[in-house]
Amino acid sequence: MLLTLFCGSLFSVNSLSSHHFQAVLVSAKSSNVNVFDKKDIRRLFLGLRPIHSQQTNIPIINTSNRKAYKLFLKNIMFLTERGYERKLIKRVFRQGADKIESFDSINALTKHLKQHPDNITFMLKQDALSRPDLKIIQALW
Amino acid sequence: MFAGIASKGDQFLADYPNTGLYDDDISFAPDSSFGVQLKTRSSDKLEFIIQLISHGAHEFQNEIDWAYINYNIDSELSLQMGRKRLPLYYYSDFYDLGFAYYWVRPPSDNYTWQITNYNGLSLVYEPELGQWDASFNLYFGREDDKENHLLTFLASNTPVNESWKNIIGFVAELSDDIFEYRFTIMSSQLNRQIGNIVLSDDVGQLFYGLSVNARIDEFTFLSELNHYERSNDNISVNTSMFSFGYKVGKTIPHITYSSLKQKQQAGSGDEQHFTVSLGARHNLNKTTALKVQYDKTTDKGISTPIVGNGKLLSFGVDFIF
Repeated sequence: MLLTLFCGSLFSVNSLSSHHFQAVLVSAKSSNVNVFDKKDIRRLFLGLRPIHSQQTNIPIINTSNRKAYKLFLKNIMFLTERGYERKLIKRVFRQGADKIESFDSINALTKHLKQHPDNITFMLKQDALSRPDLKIIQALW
Repeated sequence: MFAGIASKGDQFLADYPNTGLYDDDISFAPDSSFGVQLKTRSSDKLEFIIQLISHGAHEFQNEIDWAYINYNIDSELSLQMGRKRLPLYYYSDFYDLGFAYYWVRPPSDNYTWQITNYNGLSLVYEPELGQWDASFNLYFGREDDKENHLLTFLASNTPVNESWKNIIGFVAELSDDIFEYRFTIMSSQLNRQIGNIVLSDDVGQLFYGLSVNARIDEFTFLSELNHYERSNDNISVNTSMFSFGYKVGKTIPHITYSSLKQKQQAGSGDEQHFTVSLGARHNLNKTTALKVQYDKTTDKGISTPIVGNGKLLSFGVDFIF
């Protein structure tokens, strides 16, 4: 009984986290980016080429909201922050992959996306909805 | 940029491939390197990548580590042609990029190879395997190295020319957030000339190894087991490395044991040394790490000693930009 209650409690916390932190994939309003397979989003943010999509968009890491960033790593990348950073460094310096740019200010990120319509990033749905210069491509979770 | 001082023994060979040699005066050159990586793309499928590096151990002369064309055949497969690092050991590809690991340099008893690069072809396959990341690399090539740094040093500065012909190798890697597995195998023909004397002429050599790493919460475990053999010369060598680290805030203290043991056979040497290292890495920020390390090496070689027993204290900073 105790075990059941404990598991139930954990489930509720996770559900609450995801519900309160709904996230979306976004690009500039002027972009022609279409919906991605989630496996391709993972590949793009690892510096790999997508398999299911012909789109070759440039990923941008959004660290302006630490909670959303960690949930993105957990839900989409299946990695911890430490594991993700380790994989990125290895790809750049082992395989010559492009370094993925990162922004810790959502205003600077929005400005960057406006200037680079082929770039994509993730952010909280409420943040994306409040920025008319951005287009929601798809829900992430 | 690193500094170090050998506290016991006249010399301490910290970096075999670059011949980073410390003595009993503080020195900054043996472990210090500067590098730059450049990339240009001519289309979605074609890129040119170059990596230049200068080592303090080589008086900061510029050397080309990478210079290759990358052609993306499809989303999972790419072909590279040109000059690359020879991916023998786990850290071979990024041996000179100290920021990518917690030591001052990868454990020296493991990393004793004299040929670090090759010119040739490399086929890389990176498929989608759910939450696992996989990479398979098949490569072919050759390397000719005149006055090889390490061998010339070991031959008391008599110039040694070394060639590895018909290199064929394969590396498989599989990793998730916690575990990392790497298998490597390579064969080639060795040619070695010391002064005017041809010592080896197309002698077959084989290398294979396995690495298993795990990172669970704050705990890190790294391991590497390698075997090298040159049957015609009766040479058979095993190397191993085991390391433990524990992250405390932004600092990772670590302890490492590494060893090299040559099997004694008729006509072969008896190279045998092991090192215990204690150190710590402190991440100042996302691009800068401070490191300090203490190494104690025991050299048990009698007919083939390297530089004898030694202790080394080294410290410095790694940064990327």
